[in-house]
Amino acid sequence: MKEAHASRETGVRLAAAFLALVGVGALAAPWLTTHAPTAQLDPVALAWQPPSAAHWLGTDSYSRDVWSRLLFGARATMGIAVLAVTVSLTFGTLVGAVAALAPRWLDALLMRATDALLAIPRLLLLLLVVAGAGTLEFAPLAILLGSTGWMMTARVVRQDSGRLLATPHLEGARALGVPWARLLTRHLLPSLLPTLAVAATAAFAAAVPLESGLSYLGLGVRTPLPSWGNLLADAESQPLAHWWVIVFPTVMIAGTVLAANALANAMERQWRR
Amino acid sequence: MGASLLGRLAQGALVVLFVVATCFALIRLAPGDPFFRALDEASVPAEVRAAQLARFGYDRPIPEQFARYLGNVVRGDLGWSHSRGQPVAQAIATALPATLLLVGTAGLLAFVVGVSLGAWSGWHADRPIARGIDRGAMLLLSIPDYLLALLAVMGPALAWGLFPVGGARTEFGPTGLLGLVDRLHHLVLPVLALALPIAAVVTRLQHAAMRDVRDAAFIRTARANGVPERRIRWRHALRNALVPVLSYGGVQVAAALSGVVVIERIFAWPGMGRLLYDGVLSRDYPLIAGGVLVAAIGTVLGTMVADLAIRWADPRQRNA
Amino acid sequence: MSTPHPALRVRDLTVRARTTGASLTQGVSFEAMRGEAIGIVGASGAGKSTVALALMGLLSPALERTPTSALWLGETALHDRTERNWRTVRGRRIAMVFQEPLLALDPTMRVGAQVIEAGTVHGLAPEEAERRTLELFAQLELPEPEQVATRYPHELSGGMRQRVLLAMAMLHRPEVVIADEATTALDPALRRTVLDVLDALRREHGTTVLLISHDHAVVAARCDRVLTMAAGRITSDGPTPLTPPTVRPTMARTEQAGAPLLTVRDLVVDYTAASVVRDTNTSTRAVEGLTLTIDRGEVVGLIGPSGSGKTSVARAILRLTPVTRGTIQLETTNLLTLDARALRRMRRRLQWIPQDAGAALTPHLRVDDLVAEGLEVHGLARGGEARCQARALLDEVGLPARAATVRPAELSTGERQRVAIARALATRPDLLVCDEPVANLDPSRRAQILDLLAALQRARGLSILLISHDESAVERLASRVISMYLGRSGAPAAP
Repeated sequence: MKEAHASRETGVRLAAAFLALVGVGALAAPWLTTHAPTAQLDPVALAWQPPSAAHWLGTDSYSRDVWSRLLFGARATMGIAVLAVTVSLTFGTLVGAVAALAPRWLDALLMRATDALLAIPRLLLLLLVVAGAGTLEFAPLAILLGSTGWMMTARVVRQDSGRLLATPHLEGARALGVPWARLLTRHLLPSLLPTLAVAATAAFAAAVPLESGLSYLGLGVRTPLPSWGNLLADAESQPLAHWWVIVFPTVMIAGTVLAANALANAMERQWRR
Repeated sequence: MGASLLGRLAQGALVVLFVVATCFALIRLAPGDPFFRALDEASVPAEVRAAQLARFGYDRPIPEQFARYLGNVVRGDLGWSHSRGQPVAQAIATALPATLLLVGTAGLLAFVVGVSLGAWSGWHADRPIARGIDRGAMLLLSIPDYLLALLAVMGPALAWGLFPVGGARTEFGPTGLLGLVDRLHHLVLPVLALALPIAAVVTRLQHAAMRDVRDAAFIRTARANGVPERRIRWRHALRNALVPVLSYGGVQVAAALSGVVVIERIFAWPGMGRLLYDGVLSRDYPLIAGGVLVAAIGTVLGTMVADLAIRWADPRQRNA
Repeated sequence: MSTPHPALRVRDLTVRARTTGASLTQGVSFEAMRGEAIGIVGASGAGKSTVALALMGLLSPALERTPTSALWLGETALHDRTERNWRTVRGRRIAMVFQEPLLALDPTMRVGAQVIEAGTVHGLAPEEAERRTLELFAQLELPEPEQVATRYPHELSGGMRQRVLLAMAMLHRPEVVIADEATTALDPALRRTVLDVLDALRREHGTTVLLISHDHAVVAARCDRVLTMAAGRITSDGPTPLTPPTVRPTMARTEQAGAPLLTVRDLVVDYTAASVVRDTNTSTRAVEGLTLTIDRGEVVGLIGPSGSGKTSVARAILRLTPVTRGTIQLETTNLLTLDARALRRMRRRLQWIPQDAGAALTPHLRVDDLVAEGLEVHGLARGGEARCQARALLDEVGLPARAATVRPAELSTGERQRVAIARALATRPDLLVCDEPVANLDPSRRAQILDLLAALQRARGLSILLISHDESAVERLASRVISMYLGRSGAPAAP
């Protein structure tokens, strides 16, 4: 028992450290790289260079530096994911909390609508919009991801608010005659913070593969601008001999999602039991 | 909680209607449709433009156009795919069986593996192996489906040559029994890539549900009655632990099915996902709309099947 | 051994936690004869249920029996059995009726099938098991036994489910039946029926009955012997004559003129249980036709054992819980028909000190903000003025100045209780509903808080509904006492 607990602790620390490192890398990308991410250094002589002192993670088919592209790719992927989570969390929390406090009919309406939207595969919604809009800039892509991802948050917040409303301190406030808007902002939302932290981390873990998947398909962030997803698209159908263009983005994507999932689980264990 | 079946049906119809409306908006309003692009050329005389618009009913008020579109969809007329040069309905009819084969096989595999692994590991949640299974599932869950597919193509298919790189069968390949083997050979990697993430979700859900049900009072009652341990586990525990898996799993699986688009694209599988992807690239809006509509109907039907399964598993949901 | 061989022998039963070694029962020893009825009474946490589960071999994996503990069923030693051997005994020779009828039945299986399963697993032919099941259902006065047998647990009432569980336990006419609060959820008439069936089982098949209950009246009426448990030990073992506790009414009611401040008439509250397993169809009746009035400036006590519905009454008056039937009037206003807005305004006059007042203070807010909140939301004072009044109130309830700027978690339980009182008083209410206001405090603090309440009541002419299971606390303040038992009020006592 104790052993499992300790190893779990280490896992959580590793996960947090990994995410922090990726975040720092993304923010400080211009200072940590030696080449511009889109610079084609010498397409003839420098393509497919294996990792070396000059190119830490090698170069790709256009002789671009993989390390630089990976760090700037982190900017795109992490930035879009964080912005998307902000959008989906804000909207989802609003819908969920309002439904919890609202009269029965409004509650039912909001939650049934949420369920209905949840029944549409998210990627299809995204495809529809991407097809309609053509190319999407950074911010619209993030907002699009966010606006198709708020439903799970709304559900969790609705559920948890229902539970919280029955806890003594919210009942106490209700019995005091606190109006609902104040109940929401002063008493309910701060108590929801743990739930929101879990939901945000889980939403982040869902947004990273979605963005990188779209970019991989050529529908999200488009080359030559780097994102972890389109790094893989560049590397696609290359023999394993050029392993470095595949392995590093793969490790980054899977590692980030795993770390976020692990953190969400740990927070859930800590706060929701 | 236990919405009536009729209510579910109404909700499903609403979802489909919403999707149809979005599709219509896409076809009608999205920029870049070749038809309009051609008409908007400066060299096209105004009369010709008006005549062409009238010919396809584009001069009518939007609600009327929508009603007409709706009528066409109900009759099965999904429009003309300019990129394929054939009716959308026909393109879908060709692609749908391949996707159903892929999704059906993967779904079945994912559920059988996920429920068995999750049920076993949840019941024995204190054992190290059981915890390992749960963590393994979480690791698997964290690898996006397209990455899994990509790795499968690069390793077993490209580098080691164990499996075909793409397609549903070898062109001009063998027929008869060998043809069947050939098809199965092509099916392995795409099915695994699609099934593994879903299996991971199901495993984790089943694990948690089974672990929780271990402490339920009715399990203790069964034990106090002297019911054998095996029957307790299968009849009492698993039956109850299936309920959350079915109800939550329905949503999760719908999400996981998004993977079809990516996986069909990577394995060049001639199905709906591929169709949609090609449609997006060539801006073939009627094709996209048709594909999305079929997918939405599929999801709604899937949710209803999940609902029926929940009603079977949990009598409390039946008479609501 | 003694000459009629005892049906059950327990020697030095000590159950402890595997990890910490803390013991839940300590050297429990007793014997039970064939056909004997033994009551086991004691407060919750005294170890009654642990003894029962140990007898069934159903202790949770986190607990263990010490090696010296010994259990015999007739001449069969139970203490050295393997799990497989226990199984052949459980349900057949020793059976148990559990106390949560809501959760103790498999929600996915028809109740008839569940009882029949209990028969067939011990080799009863299916037809024979079915015949006995229906026979028992009929004996336990389940209406239309064949019908009931095809129902799922959620389609039955709590009392019906409890009887299904009893039928399970009686199916094999076991040597020992343990009933853990098995009749608590039943109304008095049904309780009598069920106890009669258990008595018949004793007479006809010599079954030994262990009746675990906090209901002294039931134990006194039906048992030959009573074991009293406290802190994991048996503190007394003897023949029954236990007097059920009586309610002693206090002080005379002061004569009042005019209409009462609060009038509650024929109040019925059903409470829908939220259970781990989703189950929306079950409701239990918490309050059954209660009537009470409180006059201006009067302190009325409401007492009764836990589970008698006192808290439900408080929550209904405060409109925190839905009311099934009845009226609740504050002076001439019917609280039950108010819309949300009017109700919110009415809350100014009607304040609450809940059971765990510490938990009722929003943890991330400062104490003075918490107290000032009532002033602000009812428009009595704003900002600095509200905070100033709040501090005055905190002073009035005897809190030091430093308490104003901290968060509730930094205060002691007693101090938090005072904050809750100040918060409730801030809106200058007419009626204060105090639900076990001193239950969480140690005796010296208890007296202080009660004195404080009394002083505030006199100074402000407050009316108080004081709810408690502690008669001495109520006697100290109340001019009139109403006792509740199983959702009903006894006679309002006025000597």
